Amino acid sequence: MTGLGRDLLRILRGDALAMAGAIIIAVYCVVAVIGPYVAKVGLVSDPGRAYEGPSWRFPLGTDAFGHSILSELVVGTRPIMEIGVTAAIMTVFVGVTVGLASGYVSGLADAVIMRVVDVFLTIPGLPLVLVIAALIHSSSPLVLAAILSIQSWAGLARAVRSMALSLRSSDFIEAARGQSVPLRHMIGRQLLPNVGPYVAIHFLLAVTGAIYAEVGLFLLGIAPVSGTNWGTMINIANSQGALYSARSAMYLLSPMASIVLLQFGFVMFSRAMDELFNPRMRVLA
Amino acid sequence: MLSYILRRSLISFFVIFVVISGSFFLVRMMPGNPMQVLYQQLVQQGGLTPQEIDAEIKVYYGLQPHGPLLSQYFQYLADVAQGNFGRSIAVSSATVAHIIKQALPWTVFLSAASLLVTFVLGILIGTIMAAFRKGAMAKVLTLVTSFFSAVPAYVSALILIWQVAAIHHFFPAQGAYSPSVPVGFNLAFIGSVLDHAVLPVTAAVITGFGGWALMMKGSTTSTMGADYIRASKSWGLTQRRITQTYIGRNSMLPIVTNLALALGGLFGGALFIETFFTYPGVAYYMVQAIDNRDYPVMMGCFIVVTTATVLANFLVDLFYPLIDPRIARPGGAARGAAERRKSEAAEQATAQPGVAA
Amino acid sequence: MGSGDAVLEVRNLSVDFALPTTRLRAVDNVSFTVYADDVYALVGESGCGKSTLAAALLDLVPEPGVIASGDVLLRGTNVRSMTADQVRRARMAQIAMVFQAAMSSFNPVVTIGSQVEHVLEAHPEVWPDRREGLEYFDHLLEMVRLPGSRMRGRFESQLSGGMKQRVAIAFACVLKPSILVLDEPTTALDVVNQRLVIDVLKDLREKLGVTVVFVTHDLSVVAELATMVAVMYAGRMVQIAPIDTIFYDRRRHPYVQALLSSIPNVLQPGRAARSIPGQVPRLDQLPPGCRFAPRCPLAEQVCLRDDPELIGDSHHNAVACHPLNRHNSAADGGQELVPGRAVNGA
Repeated sequence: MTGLGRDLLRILRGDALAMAGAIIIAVYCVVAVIGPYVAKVGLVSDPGRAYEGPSWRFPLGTDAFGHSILSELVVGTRPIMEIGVTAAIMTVFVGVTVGLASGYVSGLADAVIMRVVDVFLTIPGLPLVLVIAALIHSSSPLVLAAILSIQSWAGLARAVRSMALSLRSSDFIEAARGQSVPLRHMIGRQLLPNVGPYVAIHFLLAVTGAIYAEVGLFLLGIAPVSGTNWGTMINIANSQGALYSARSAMYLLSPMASIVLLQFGFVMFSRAMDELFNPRMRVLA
Repeated sequence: MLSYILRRSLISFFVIFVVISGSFFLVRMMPGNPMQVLYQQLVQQGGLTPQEIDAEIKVYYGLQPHGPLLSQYFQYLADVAQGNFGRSIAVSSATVAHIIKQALPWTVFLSAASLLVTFVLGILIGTIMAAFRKGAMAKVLTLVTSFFSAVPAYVSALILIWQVAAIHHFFPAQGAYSPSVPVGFNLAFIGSVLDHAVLPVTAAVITGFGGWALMMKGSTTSTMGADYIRASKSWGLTQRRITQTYIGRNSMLPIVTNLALALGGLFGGALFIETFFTYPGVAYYMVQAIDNRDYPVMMGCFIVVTTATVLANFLVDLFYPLIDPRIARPGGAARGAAERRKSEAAEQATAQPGVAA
Repeated sequence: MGSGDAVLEVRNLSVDFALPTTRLRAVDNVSFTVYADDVYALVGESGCGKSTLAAALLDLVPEPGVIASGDVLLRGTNVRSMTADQVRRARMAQIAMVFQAAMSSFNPVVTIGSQVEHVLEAHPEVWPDRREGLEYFDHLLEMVRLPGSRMRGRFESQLSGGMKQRVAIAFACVLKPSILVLDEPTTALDVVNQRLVIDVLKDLREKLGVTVVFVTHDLSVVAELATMVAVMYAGRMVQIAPIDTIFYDRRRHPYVQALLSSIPNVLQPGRAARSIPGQVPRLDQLPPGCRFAPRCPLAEQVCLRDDPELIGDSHHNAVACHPLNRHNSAADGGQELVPGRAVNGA
């Protein structure tokens, strides 16, 4: 693991963009953790302070209620990151479990699992998420995360299965089987380390995908929410006519910039991960 | 070849069947079953006999609210097979089928235009990045495409509306055509339609082309390293021939596979784009229906969208053997090859968030 | 042996790999001459630069390789001073290559026949009438013992490994090249197909008069096929000699001796095969002096210090070895070398 860490550091040092991505993600994580302690969004509105421009007190200005936009952004980071990461964990867990199981059992069970995966792969993901979110109508972050990962596990499952299959026929598994190494050991020591890198990259991408869909849900007002997050900010800005008046530009732009920056960070960082793991991937292929 | 087509169409049919069945049970079995909610509402309104309430619900959902689940299910299947999705709750006197029939052409038009522009632009930029992968331009292009692939559809749509339409009034940002032109096959109408399509298409292209470009770059770069490319050089072929038939065709293979998968993602983006541009397509009505708790319309839109995606997948499957002869050759190889292709595509697509999202 | 015209002459050729931080010399100042009647074998362990050398003949060294210096003469014309288009035309028409990866050297989405047509189209001066070219290809296919016309409509993925290798050989001959270069033509094949490919190459040489140059690490193939042998070690040419010298004369380079001992049953059945101790040095960690010295049973102090030169007639018979050349210059060539003063002596 230390070797991997060192490799990652080396790649990050060599690739300024990947480094930037890593820093962006780190900053967002820190903000998500400490955000609610350092920033507060008042409940009372203060019309006298509405639509103020950037100042020392309000670095990004204020919204229609006189609240600090920066504070809202900071406070809104945690729910977004929380749900995004939870959804990605669920995606990876289900995807890897189904993929490994399917690759291991083979035969009829495998065929059935793969047909189910095919169905999920073909169904357009976001509409499915929307429909289910609308039907279930739950404001629990866990349920929301589960809904967000309803489709994204399928691609991972398919990829993991094909890797598991190619590993199954590879020499070291043969050798391990020849020496009657227990199954648990084979999965833990042989399979996971080989599938792991791919899963790590997929995890990052699953976070990106979940955050994209999640903000979209809030933005369309489909998922019920409590409290501030970027999606609701855009939604409110939009309904207040921010698009048609320059006054509320900051209120509209700030959350959008936050999302784009975070997504960009994930894209750049996953590139570095890809580079880190690619030699191993090629050996596999 | 025939068995290949048969196999593919069976799978497509199966997916559509699963989606329709899933839709039925999803609505019927949900906590707070929408049909029961409607039933309660009608009871509370009063003034209706139980028979009238049942008849009312039958109109909206096409189902007997108190019948056994299985007979409801078969009734539903039969209705959907005939294009009967029930009646809208929010829009009075409109059948779901009618709404979809009006909306679908707009979505097809917008999606096709978006996909075409996105695809061509992405392939072009991806090829340039692969061809000049050592220069400074490739670095800049990689940065730019990575950035745009991180922009969600709702951001690009809102920014366009805000900057281009609301502030500078370059293009209209609402509707599919101007209400002042006569609908029909005339120049004013076609011009208006194109004018109204510019911003929605641009919004889709901004979020989409980056993923294609990065994928194309990866595919072309790996093709260029293939043994047969080096061999074709040793044959003294002209650069043009090598680029077209040897690099070009082979690097397009994974791209074409992803074309079908991308349709689902494209429609995901359309949910936001059509909504913000109030573009009267299926995605727009679907979001409206969700807002209004208009479940018959919502499920109808969902089934139609999914069916369209499955059919598009099927079409790509059908044409794929034309560009890759390894698929669909007589014998057992076809199945394995098709499977492999899908797995590779899944790997590729998940590696490119812009396309998968 | 070595009669007829010189069809290919390589002079002082060096190929570098330009890595981000350093430049490694993969082929170092190599010279040799191939005559029309030769079947020329380039021999060495993997990583010795023989494949790179073969690719360099027609400027096909894969990145990051670059030809650093030297000349390649095709029937007296220097390839290195040709224009890019002249080089393109010379490819396959004068020197045809069958790469080591012949298994994957056809475009998977185009039929074999279309690829022949692409070749004919790129070299209109060889077969002005493409139909004749295609018929000639069918004829070649029969010569490599494959059913002619039926192969053309096939895709690469429809051919077995052994078939692919033979199709690739027939394919390479379609423009009637004067030289056919094959990189490890038998390596990935089973014994039956190896035999078939060797027979096919003998046939082609006899019937078409094509000069065969092949790269291999397998001395048993060399024994079957070659008339001349050039042995490379770590980017250097260490011995050039007729086949008989390599197999029956004691004046062979200690590396060649070691290679021979490492194959079982070629000449001395019953003797156990011995692997060569140590490893081929990495290009960025070359020893001073003779590059083989650290593994050489005959190595002396001078070998560890001074780089041996290739001494002798570099067209026919030359060797780069201090002890050997000292004995040669003492004009008592037949005397057996005794590892008396050897530093690595057993």
